[in-house]
Amino acid sequence: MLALKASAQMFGNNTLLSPEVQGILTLILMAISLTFLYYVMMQMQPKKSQDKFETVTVIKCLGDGGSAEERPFQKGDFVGKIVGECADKAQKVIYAIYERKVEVKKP
Amino acid sequence: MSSTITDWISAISQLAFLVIFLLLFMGFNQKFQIYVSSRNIKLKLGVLEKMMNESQSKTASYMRNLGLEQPEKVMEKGINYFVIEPVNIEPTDIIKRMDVLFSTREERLEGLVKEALPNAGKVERSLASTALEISAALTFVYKYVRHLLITGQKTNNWILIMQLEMVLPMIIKQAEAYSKALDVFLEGKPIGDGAGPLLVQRIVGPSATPIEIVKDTVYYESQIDNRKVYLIKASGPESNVGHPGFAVEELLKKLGERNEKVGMIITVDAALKLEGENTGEVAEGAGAAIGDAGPEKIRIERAASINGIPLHAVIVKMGMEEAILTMKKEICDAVDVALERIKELIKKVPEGHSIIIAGIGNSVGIL
Repeated sequence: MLALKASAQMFGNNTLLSPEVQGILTLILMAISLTFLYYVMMQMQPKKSQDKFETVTVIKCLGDGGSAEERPFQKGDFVGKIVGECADKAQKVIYAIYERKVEVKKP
Repeated sequence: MSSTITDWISAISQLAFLVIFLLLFMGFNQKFQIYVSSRNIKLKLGVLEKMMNESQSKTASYMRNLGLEQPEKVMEKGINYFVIEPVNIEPTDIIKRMDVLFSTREERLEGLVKEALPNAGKVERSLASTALEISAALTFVYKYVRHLLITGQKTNNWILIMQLEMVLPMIIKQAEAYSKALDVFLEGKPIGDGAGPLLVQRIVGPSATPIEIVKDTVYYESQIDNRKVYLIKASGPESNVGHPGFAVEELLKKLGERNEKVGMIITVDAALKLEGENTGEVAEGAGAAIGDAGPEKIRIERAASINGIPLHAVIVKMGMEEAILTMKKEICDAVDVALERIKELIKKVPEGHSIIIAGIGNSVGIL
């Protein structure tokens, strides 16, 4: 209320602020409003995703155990590629290749 | 003193408003809009140009690594290659005419790459061919947007420019997906669209023997729940979608000759999800799940209708970008869900009848 009274006194009394100063103040207010509007519009724009992705190759033993291991994708990998033999003499094949989000461990 | 200044300010502002008012009548606002929009479009056109140049240089570099000294000549031919749409005002035999056009295009582009890279393997040639197609697509997008911008500026067509400005974010998004897809293809990684071929690979395993039935398309024989299953997919691991429609037609002919009864045809494909739907959702429906221009799809539909075979579709939902970029884990997991759906469907077929499963999609990175 006190601030309102003070501002009313300032702008209501012609002797306190000249029309030039009032004009400059209006311009400053407009500049601040436009800057704020621009800032709000910038904030409204969709932010680019910071998520990181990695491509992994899943290798599986086709035997009864069916154990699976993962490693980063290497050029030349393809699903169905036989990459070796498992302990139980079963075929070791590339079962899947996919992309997944990298989970960043927070310290 | 102060009143003199305020009078001047008032007079100048009134004059300014009068001038602006007159300019509005003379169409200044439209010209200003054209100027502002053109400037925005030019900025985005720069982004498209960068993507086009990058894709061309990556394709050229890939071809150079495969032993081609001057890839520019092949690229110039491949990038500017075009197909003229068949006459559709008279639709009789349009599918046959489309077949001719598509096979002409396919043979010409493949021949172009084969001649240029005689010592490269089948997989490398297919990747070079796909890279060429992606470069051609990005070049076309750039040229077409530039064409619209220049036309709009020349004719002062602010509606055309405004429309272009409004659709450009979508065009840029699609172009970005193509640009990213180029790297994925050049590395030979499976893409989201490969959900169908991956399902076939899951059923048959790596040791099954593929039998080529039509160009670039193979089939396998397997057993599910005591029923004989024929599985069709594009040959892999090269980048290739094959000809599943022709394959289904040909396979049905073969089985007909052997008096083998087919109780069901199931097509499995990646399908575009609606915004808000989750990637990797699996849905079942009726019809041929295949997104070609027509010749493949109509063959599956005709073959099913002529022989009176129920035609089922199982789809794995994904976004447009996800379909052409590295396969996501959600899609890979969805293949197992789709497989369970297929097993449920197969149980409806009486024993003694065979089933045809067509895994539709690009087989890049999938044997």
